[in-house]
Amino acid sequence: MRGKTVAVLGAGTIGLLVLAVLRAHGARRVVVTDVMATKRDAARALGADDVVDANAPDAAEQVRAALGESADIVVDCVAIEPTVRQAVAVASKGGTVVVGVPAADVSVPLALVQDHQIRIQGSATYVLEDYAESIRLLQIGAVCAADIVTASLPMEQVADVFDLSASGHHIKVLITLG
Amino acid sequence: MTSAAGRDSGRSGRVVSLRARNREFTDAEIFSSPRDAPRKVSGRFTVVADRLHIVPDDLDDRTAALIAPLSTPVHAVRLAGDTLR
Repeated sequence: MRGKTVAVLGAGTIGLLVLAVLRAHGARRVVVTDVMATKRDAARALGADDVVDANAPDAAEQVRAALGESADIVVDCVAIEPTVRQAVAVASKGGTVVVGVPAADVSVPLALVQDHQIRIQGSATYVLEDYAESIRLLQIGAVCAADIVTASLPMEQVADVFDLSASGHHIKVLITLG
Repeated sequence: MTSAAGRDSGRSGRVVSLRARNREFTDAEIFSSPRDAPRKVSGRFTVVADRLHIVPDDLDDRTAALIAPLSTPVHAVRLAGDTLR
């Protein structure tokens, strides 16, 4: 990842953790997009070089300008049709788009993918070696719980946990036991 | 936890085996059931031993709770790093 330019689409929990991993792995420049200003602010606070409003009509162009070039890698953490199109536009030419997790199938500008030799890579959960790296990153402080865990509620309030998680105002909400 | 499988069969305590088919079958898939797997919930289930991890002493519970959520971005970035450029 060292020296790469990267765009992260979506500054929810996964997007912000992707940002942290990219920083820890030496990405040269990282730009994060989101439709919510509060999430863009969180991304900037957690180390994004720049942030872009994903709803802007020229969001892809803004991301390319903020990166100073096309992205070597785009991580699309939203995976809806507008973000997939933005991802392909930002990765053009020759970049890799990592996607997860789509709620439904979307249309992909396949002619552009082919002509500009863009690679689309699915990503699902993790394997053992990812677990070990995750532990290492937490041990060295690349990710701090204080930045990511924004609320903790007991199991008795589990319904409130879902409400908080869906509010868009929290990053990670924990359920505590005992 | 109430067993959905138990409710289905009118009994409780039934163990649903979600034994990993191979090492690439991930922890989260075991616990959440992938889209193509039978969706069952049980009060008890079996996993292969190497799916259990000891939390290092220097990680508090709040930080340790982030190990699994952080593993998904780690996986995504690792896959992205294997780029053709």
